[in-house]
Amino acid sequence: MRRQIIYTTILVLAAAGQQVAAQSKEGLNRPSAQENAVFRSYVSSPADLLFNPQSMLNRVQLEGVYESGDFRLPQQADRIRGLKASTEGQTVLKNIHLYGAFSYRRQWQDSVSWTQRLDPLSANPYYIATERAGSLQTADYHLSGKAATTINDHLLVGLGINYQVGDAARDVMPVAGHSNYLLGFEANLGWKFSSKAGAAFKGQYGYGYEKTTVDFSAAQDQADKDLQFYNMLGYGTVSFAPNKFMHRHFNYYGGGLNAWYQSGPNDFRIEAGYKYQRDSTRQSAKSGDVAYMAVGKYFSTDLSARFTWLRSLPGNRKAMLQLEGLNTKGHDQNDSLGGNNYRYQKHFYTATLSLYRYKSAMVKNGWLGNIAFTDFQKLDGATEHTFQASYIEGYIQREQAFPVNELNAVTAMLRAGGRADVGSKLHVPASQMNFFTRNIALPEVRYYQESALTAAARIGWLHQLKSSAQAEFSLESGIMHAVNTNTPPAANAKFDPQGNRFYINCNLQFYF
Amino acid sequence: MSFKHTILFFCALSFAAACKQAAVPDLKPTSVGISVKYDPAFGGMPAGGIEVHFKDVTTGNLYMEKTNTDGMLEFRHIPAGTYDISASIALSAEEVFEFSGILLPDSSIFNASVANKRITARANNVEMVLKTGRSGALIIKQLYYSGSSIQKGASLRDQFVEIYNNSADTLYADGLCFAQLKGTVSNVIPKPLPSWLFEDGRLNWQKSIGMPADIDANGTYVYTESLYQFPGNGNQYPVAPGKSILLAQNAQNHKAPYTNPNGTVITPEDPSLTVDLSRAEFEVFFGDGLASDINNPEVTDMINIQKQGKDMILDIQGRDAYVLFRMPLEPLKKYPSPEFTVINTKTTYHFQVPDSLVLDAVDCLHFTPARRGPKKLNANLDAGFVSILNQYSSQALIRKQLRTVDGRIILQDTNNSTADFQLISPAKPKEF
Repeated sequence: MRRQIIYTTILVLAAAGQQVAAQSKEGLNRPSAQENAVFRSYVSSPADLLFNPQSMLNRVQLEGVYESGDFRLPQQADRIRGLKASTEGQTVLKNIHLYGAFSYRRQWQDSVSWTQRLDPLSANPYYIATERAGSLQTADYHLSGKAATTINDHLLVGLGINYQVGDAARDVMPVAGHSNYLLGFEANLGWKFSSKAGAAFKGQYGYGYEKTTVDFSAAQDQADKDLQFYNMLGYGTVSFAPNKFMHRHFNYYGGGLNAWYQSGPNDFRIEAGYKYQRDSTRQSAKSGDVAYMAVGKYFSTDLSARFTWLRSLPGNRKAMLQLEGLNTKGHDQNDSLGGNNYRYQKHFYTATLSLYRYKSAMVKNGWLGNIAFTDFQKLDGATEHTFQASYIEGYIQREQAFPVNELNAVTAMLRAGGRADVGSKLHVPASQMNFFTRNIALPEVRYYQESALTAAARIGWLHQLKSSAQAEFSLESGIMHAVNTNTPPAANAKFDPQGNRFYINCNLQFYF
Repeated sequence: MSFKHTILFFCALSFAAACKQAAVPDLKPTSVGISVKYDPAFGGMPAGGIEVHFKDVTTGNLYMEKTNTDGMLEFRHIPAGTYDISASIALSAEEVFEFSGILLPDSSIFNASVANKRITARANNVEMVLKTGRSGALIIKQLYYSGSSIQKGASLRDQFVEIYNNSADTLYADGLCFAQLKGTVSNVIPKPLPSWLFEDGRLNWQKSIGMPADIDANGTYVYTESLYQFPGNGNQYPVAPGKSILLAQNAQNHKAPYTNPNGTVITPEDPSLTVDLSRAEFEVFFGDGLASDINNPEVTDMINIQKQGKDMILDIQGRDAYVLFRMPLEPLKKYPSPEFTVINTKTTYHFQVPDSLVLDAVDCLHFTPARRGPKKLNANLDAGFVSILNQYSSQALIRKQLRTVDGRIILQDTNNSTADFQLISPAKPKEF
């Protein structure tokens, strides 16, 4: 019943979102990569809507994706198939700026092993794992809405809501069921100094859970070694899982400051944020049990900053510079070991520079380059596993549209880039090596120690439906190719990420 | 500051921050201090030069160290977790006499073990006592409790125990007793810990109502869950040297179709998975209405002294311990299970069997390591434990062959079942 209420709510809100989109008078049409980046910045908090330097973007999207290849992390699936339907839109009702988004995604992942959670890349160290690979089917809904306005032309107020719900199932033994939920709120309060400048404080709060149940359909299968349940309790610390149900409950809060300034052809946006999240994981024999075993808590703190500079240039050209930084620190409180056993740290910095020429609503040609530096560390005290991934990656891409006639154009994109290791390493004393080391840690560090080349291409057909509405069908494919410049894989590793990872993406989008 | 300088400053700041190492977790690999002593009955001296095996139950990692002259050693830099700890040493009669002043008739094996020991992230200390038991003449040769496939085999109807004469003399089964022991089978320890349980989950028989305070109720006795006695007047059922007898749950040819008392024909789809027990020497028959409990008139029935359930059903998952002993002249005492703090109609009573009467004992644990409860036997009876890999798997545990003397096979009996037994599949009743 509760689920039906949730789904009904989603449908009603989605319809409202589409209504919001439909009421828009002015559309951005198909956005370029540059416009997309600017759009993402200016919908990241409610008050951003008030300073959007671009036309509004409203779109409906249907997307299919297929991803495969052995150049991957050990807890990722070999093949992933996905379908996604989404819609988002912006509009202004009287003095209120609105944004709404809804998406529904289904994924079919095969050969997921050594993890029984929905996000295998999460820094949280607590999860159930089994060795046997199996398929995982996921379905999730995401709904968000933002509204912002000014009172007396100066006082900025904004409110936002973020709602996610999903479930997943694994039908290969051990069978598993997941459900997850998140409800988050954000608010802005600030001052608009003039039509060209403003600043606002941001506050956010949210909570949610992820529940995982693993089980066997036949008692006999319990004895198979690769079906043994383990509790992962760090990055190397493992124990047998005494129970089949794991419940991770989390809540977060944060704050920040956003500022906007427009001067002549320049639009500046700066954002600094802080977020603190507390995850608490416990286990019991089954869902709803009053008696449970506390497994551990994980605390993480994010400090982030983003700077966007959009400059209009003569000849219908625009340049954009975007700088972004993220610093994450996490630590646990392990209940079974009685102390802090795990620490996580991440630094991520990226810069994006783009230059586009906007000839018409259909022809938006330009260059975009990105470079990013990522460094993250995972440390396990009890087993002395010290992992560090450190790499620089970047790409340059060209987007070009070729008009066929007044109503149609062929769109194309070419991208080339690479990733270089700058110090990924794993240290584990010989006496502390265990199956976690062999199956997860060694393949993971190997993945990051491999340098790689990346390439992608997209081609599409863009059709002008009416003056402010477009449709585009596109196909995109990309590949990441490992360049084996490093030493051979560790002899004890059970999986060697190598070769290629490619994807193909089929996309139908409507803009209005 | 120009735009170029801003970018350079940003990059430099980023790399500086990234190069900083994450703080080190508070917890470190732990250490375990182990002291090993001989049984107080042998003087309780520190046992030096003993190799101690320290096995991580979860990962299977095995650490080995020898004790110093004070019987001490320390395992350092090991992860907290759950461990099986064992120590063993074979000593000649002279060596035993040298440190204890006790003259044994033959060489002896001293064993000590602790199963499923929780090692915390803080400092840990474990005390181990090396005990020796008798190397029996009549011993358990083969244990077949897993049963065979429910669909293709005989399910758990084909369980049996094979008992072997490991001596050079003819011995008699008459009056011999076979028992399944009472103990904790679950690995879940209730919180708060009841007074009648030890921290590792073992029953504390000292808390049993009526238990004398002046005996070591846990250290020198075992307690039966079921008890069956071989009939005979003392020399009716001989077991020749190197020969064995079979004790079957149901002495039937489980490979062949048979009709149970309900008229149902039971046909195994794959006879190779099960065994022919129609020539077993003994069987247990309750006659309490269990369809599979069929009496074979050709086979001698055991005397059912203490029944459990509706037949002699051995735990298919392996959560039993088994003992062979001779019934003493004095009647065995019975005590209620320790969890009964008051006597009522549900109270169960269990025979108290002194370790000194036990001829052979084997401790079994659940086939899934994560679900193993505590051991039921002390190290003097069985320093180790055995387990199968799966239930209904046709797997059996059989004692290893040590050597052959004048055509007679001598089986290994060090009172450490982990070392003495091996897994076979399918079971092979009386193969040798």
